[in-house]
Amino acid sequence: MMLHEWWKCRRAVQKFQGYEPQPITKESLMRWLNQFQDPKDRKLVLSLLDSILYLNERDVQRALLELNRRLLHRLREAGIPPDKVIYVQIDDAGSSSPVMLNFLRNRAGLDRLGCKLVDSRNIRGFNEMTSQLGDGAIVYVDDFVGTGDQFAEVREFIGDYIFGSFSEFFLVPSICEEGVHQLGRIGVEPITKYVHSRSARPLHDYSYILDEASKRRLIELSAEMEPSCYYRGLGYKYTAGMVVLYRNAPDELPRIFRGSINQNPKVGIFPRHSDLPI
Amino acid sequence: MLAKKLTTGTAGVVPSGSLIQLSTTDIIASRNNPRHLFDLPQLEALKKNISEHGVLVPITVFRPKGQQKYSILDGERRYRCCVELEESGKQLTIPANVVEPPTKIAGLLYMFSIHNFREQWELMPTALGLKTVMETLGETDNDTLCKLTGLSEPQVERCKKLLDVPDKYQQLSLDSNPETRIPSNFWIELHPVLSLVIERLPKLAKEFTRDGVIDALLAKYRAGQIKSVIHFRRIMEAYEVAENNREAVLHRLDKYVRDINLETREAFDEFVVDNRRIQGAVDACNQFLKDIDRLKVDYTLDRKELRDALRKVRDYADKLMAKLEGGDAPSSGGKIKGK
Repeated sequence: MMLHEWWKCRRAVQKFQGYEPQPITKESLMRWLNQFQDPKDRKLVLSLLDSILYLNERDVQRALLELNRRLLHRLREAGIPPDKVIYVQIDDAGSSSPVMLNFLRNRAGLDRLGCKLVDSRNIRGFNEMTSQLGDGAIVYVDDFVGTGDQFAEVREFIGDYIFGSFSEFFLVPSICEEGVHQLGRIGVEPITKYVHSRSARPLHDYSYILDEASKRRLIELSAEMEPSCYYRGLGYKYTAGMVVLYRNAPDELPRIFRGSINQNPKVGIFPRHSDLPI
Repeated sequence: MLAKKLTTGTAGVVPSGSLIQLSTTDIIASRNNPRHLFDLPQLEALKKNISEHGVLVPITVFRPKGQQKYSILDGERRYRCCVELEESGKQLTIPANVVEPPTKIAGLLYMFSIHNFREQWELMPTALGLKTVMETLGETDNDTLCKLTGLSEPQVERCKKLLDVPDKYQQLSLDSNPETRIPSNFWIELHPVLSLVIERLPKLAKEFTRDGVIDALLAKYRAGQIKSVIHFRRIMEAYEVAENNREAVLHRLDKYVRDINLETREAFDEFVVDNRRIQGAVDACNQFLKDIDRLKVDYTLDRKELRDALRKVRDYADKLMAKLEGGDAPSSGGKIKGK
């Protein structure tokens, strides 16, 4: 191992502390790096690590609390008291949205404030709540929004059951640029700390961080990680996102970081839960 | 009184507002007006018009509490055209009347009107919307509800039927997962079948209870043995057409409820299809007699061809009669038994 590689790995281990699906250690980083034989490739993949926006548990929690505090303040100023605010979790139990909402519930004292909490799958409860309140705010909560497609699908279904005049917000520490547009299209305002622009993603078409040859080579390496994957290994809908959350990496993360399905034949440094062997 | 006032339409409850100029970024799309509701050629024509003359008729917007942007109450298409024109580099401002946010009931009636004119609302949200209208205005009369919501009387009836379904079953049609969601039509189509079971199969109804029968049919639906909810109609059709054989239909219905693996058409087609076929055959015979009589061939000179044709008809009819009487025709050209 070259000295600069050793230095980069050391920094990466510190930076990516607390990744839950698989701890990032010097060994796991080396296993990942050693899959690339060519020194030029090794240099390129290591340089990519600098563009990762890693949000650890503390970052996510602090951002959520701060964003929520500001939003509630803004709503109060606008004449919406907390008891007219409905917080909505948008995914299945075990995924990030319920965890984030549960955290907020406890740390921000949502129940004490009189806020309402509901699961987006409980359509009847949601419908009755909006119908009873008549007006107020609906706040969806999660730790990350990528393209926003998944949320748009949920929103389209539950939208028919919102009876009354409600402002809608999405409380999310980090969101991709595409997600901002998607939310805008469906009339939901993102309340966020980090907007992940396309130009900040080295492997994205719109990015000029890398020269064309380096980008092409990295895309090739990414696609080789899992030949059966879609979107040339660039993550869902070629997003090539560089955000990684401590709980799990988004589906928008390129394969070069995630490795193969079941981590066989190639290992990743940020495998998603679903990429790991059972 | 309120109901009367509201029957004049939502315009009556939307207050008049002030006129301002907005850019597209000041506005958020209406959440209840998805893009697919719009007719593309019309949208293109409108876009061309706006491109040439700008937006001439102000849109109507309101600012929901706590939101910095305006929501559209009326003028979604004009707004969408402007967004698309801006994406292609044209700068536009949109004249807008700003009004107070609509009340819950006005908003709801507006949703009804959108869905009546543009795209049918799903049955479940329609029913729940109607329920809110009924509860808020204390109105249950079908005529008034039709006038208020723009729904037809059968639609109101269907909604009421759906609202009568116990909550625990309604919940199944509110499942956000389309894979496991029970279509709300299931309950509407099930309704007469359930009544038939309760009224005509009291032993089964007592043994299973009403919910037990529903659960059995739900399990059958989930097992793919009711391939479409409209197949419930096959049961009712079988019962209706089998006037002389209703006991057999009821017997089959009993078996159908008990046996999860018995598919609907497999169970009831024989009653329906046979009746239809027989009626068709009777009609064909009557039509043949009518047609042949109308041709007045009794005095035709060259009768050989006609005689051959009539013989074929007679042979066919004899063969068929024998089959219907339980006889069996020989496989090749022998004399017909039982004649």
